[in-house]
Amino acid sequence: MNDSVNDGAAQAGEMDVDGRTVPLPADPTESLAHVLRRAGRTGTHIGCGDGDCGACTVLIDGEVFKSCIVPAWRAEQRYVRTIQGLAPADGDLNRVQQAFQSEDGFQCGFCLAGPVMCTQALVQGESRPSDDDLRAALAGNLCRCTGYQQILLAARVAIEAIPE
Amino acid sequence: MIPELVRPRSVEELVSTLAGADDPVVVAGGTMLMPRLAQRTCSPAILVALDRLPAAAEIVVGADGTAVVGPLATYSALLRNPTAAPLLTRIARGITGGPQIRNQGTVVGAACFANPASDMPAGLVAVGATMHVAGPDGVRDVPAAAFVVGPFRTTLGPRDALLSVTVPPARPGGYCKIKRSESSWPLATAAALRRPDGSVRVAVGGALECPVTVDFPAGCPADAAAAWELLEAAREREDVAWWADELADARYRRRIAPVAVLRSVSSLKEGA
Repeated sequence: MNDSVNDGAAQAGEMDVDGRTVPLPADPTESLAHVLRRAGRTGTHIGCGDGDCGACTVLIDGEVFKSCIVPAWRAEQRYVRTIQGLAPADGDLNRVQQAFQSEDGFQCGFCLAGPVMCTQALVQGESRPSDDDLRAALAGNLCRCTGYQQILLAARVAIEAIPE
Repeated sequence: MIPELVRPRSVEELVSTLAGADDPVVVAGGTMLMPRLAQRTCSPAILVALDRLPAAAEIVVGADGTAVVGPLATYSALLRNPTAAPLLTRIARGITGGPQIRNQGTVVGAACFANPASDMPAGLVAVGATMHVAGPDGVRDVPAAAFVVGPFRTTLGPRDALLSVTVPPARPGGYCKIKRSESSWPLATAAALRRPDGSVRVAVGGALECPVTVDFPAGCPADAAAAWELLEAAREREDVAWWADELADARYRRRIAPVAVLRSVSSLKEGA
């Protein structure tokens, strides 16, 4: 995580999750993933609990992390964005979500936060990533359904809108 | 039992916290510790975090080219500062687990975890890094080659913490990491650095209980057999056993380690 502090909405002992303030737990052994899910952000899935599968991926101050291995207290006063925080309004999808839907980028959806949030992090960048960059960005995510090709296709469509 | 969390803001506060605690557990990035805390295979009374120490997440390069890597400097920080410690940046690029792990995992944490089947310990040995350890008697320096003493074991005492790592000015380096799949820990690694006299020093990791250093006076081994002979001699001299785990047994690692050595020296020569 970088040192940037969010706009001040979250105070000490709190974090900003998709625009809402969420208190941190008293137990420092609690992972960010568990706290997010208790706060209703159940789109963040716990697939392995040890940082391998990526189904728990979130953005913290714009960078991707596997929230199941992030201690919740590390997100204090940070801006946490989950897969449920991407869309601008109810029922709308953002560009990355739309690409994964239109290109069949997922099947069961259990791993979805991994590829989607990692692609989102890329889309937030200033220059169009190469295909190698794209693969490197997605390499931390495991999927049991798709065989990964559909994930790549969807991610490529998502980044197409970035100017070269 | 819910442990106490302490996030010291100074080295003095860190040392006094550790000195006053029974069984403190120190946390840097937390990628390896968190699952253990969640599964209760590790139940400390006190967690001591390094993230609020001054310049904790930074890599600071001095006028002489020496780089000081703070305790929360991540693999991503190395990628953002590719000229500070180029060989370590190269290693960081290939760390398993995707950008998520590279954003959270730290050089200091990787050194302390001392997993034989990992990249950073041998990388630190290769570049001749110095480890700055804070303990009850103050801060002391430990050469990287003396820091990891066995599988998951370092010279850190129960009330010590690794504060930072100093890397000498950058020299050309080569690296080879052999792993079975994208998601795997390495089975063998080799980090090669050319020395001023033209010889090449290679630190081998991944395949042994702790890193082993091999020197090639002529600059490169003639072939895998030559690499093997010198590596085996160094291993015996340093009394280090081959490593075995669920990913690969010792026999397999012994076979591929010389190949990693050869490839690391090739990549050094290519200037890659």
